[in-house]
Amino acid sequence: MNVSFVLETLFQGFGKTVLLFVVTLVLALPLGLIFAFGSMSKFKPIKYLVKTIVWIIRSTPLMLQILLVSFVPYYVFGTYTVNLADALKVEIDQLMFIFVAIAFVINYACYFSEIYRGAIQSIPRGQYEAGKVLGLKKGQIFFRIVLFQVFRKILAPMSNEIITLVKDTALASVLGVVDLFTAAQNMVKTVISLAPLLYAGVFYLVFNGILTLLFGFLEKKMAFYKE
Amino acid sequence: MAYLTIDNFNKNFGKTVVLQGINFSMEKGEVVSIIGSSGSGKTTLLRCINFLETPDTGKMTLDGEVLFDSSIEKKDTEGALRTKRLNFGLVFQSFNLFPQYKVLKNIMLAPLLMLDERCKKYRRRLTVVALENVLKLKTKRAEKNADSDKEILDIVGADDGETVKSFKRVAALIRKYRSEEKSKIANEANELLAKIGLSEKKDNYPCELSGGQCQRVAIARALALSPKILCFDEPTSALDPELTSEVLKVIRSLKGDDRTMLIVTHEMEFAKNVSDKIIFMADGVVEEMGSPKDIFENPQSEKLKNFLSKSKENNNDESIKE
Ligand SMILES: Nc1ncnc2c1ncn2[C@@H]1O[C@H](COP(=O)(O)OP(=O)(O)O)[C@@H](O)[C@H]1O
Ligand SMILES: [Mg+2]
Repeated sequence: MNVSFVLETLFQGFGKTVLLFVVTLVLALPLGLIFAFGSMSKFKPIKYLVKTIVWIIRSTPLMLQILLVSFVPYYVFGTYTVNLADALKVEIDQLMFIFVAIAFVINYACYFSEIYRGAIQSIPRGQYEAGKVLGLKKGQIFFRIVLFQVFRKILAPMSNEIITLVKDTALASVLGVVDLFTAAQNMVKTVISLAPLLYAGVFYLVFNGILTLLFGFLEKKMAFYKE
Repeated sequence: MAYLTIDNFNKNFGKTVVLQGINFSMEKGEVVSIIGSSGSGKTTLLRCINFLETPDTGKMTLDGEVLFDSSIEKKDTEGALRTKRLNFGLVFQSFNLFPQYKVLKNIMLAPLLMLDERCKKYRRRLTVVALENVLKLKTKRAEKNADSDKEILDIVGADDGETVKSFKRVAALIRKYRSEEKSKIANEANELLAKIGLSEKKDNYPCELSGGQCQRVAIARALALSPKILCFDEPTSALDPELTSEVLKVIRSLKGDDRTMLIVTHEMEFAKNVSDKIIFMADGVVEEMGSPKDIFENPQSEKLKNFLSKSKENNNDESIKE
């Protein structure tokens, strides 16, 4: 078994994994906030629409959602994936990655939105009212007073969710995206050894280890006040 | 005409009638206390006055200006509401300090944000002028904005004859104005801290203070915006008895500065000593109103007599405990 070849292939897969992780975080974090506001909206139709979407997404497997996203072009628009890839001027495997990313972003936005909502609703009304009687604007109250407290509250649940995200990236394989896990799995057959899978496990461990340290650091930084 | 006039305030929450035809007025520099058993609508009244709730009907006038009038259909914009709120300060029973900011920042936050907002507005106007200049646009807007431009120049301290067209210089003036105002705000906040006797706590977080100290900071925070009338909603009710007096002392010292104050309190001794006028509320109405002497020594209504004898009992209970 050629270790350097195995590692190189794993690193390529790892690149895809990290890309999916980053794209999901960058898009789902703000989208989740929008969903959270939607689910707290005073306008009932919006509120129930968003709540229903969040409920559906959280109640069904992510793997199913990934497959559904990949069916959308054909079953909704009657476009073959190949033609869509041509139209978008991307390779098929890039298009598959985009499908996976879309499913991940929507899925994680829904989970994040619930975390945001819980945190926002747990901020005492008195904080808003104190801001109001000091003549602050709604935006100032949210960004200067509430948001920081929300941020501190979401850190712990977010760190759980984000560590889960790292492991969920392995689901990208259902559309043939060669992420870390898929790369390892493919190689098991080539090198006739389980070692690639073990190596992949170490990659995940190290990645999540770094994230855990980072969140621990942030939580410590944020612990300077009590409510 | 009185300084503050509340005229026929009515407020329901669903089917619960909370305020029924509240009328009273107070003069500038007066201290008015509101007493009454819990559930009588005292908090709701303060919240209506501070625009945290909207009365169903009624009218409020402050310093000759009608701030609220339910007979006018038009609803206030968010901005108008904010301006109106600034006439009043409100100290909450539960302090509501901002936990992530140090004591000094708690006091300075609102004035700083307001300064920032003002400077942002000036800079935006300046950008428009600069753009018009570069693009050689001569618009009617210039005339329309003449007054506000003059105001900007006045406030930032431009020389006579200068116009917003010398935008580089005006931008520099705005920067200078901002930093001067900032240090003014800091100075005022420090003075307020000295006044409430907490100068040495300015770099502490609220969680590091006792309840009494928190409430004193909350008072300073409200004072930093120089409200015309400072309202208190049971400022000592959340405090251990031994911390009550330090807060009351601060409030009493404000009376010495001729502050106009409206105080909801259960501290009868304090109300008696500090107030010019006392309002007794029961079941959403002003049951009795008068000087401390009238209220405490010569109560008229049965409800007030009952309330006073009950609160005396409570007081005795407490002194026995101690
Ligand atoms: N937001 C609200 N919704 C419904 N009922 C309320 C609300 N706020 C106050 N009330 C009711 O109004 C009455 C008066 O309350 P409040 O003004 O807090 O009295 P006080 O401050 O004198 O104890 C109480 O019966 C209370 O239950
Ligand atoms: Mg109350």
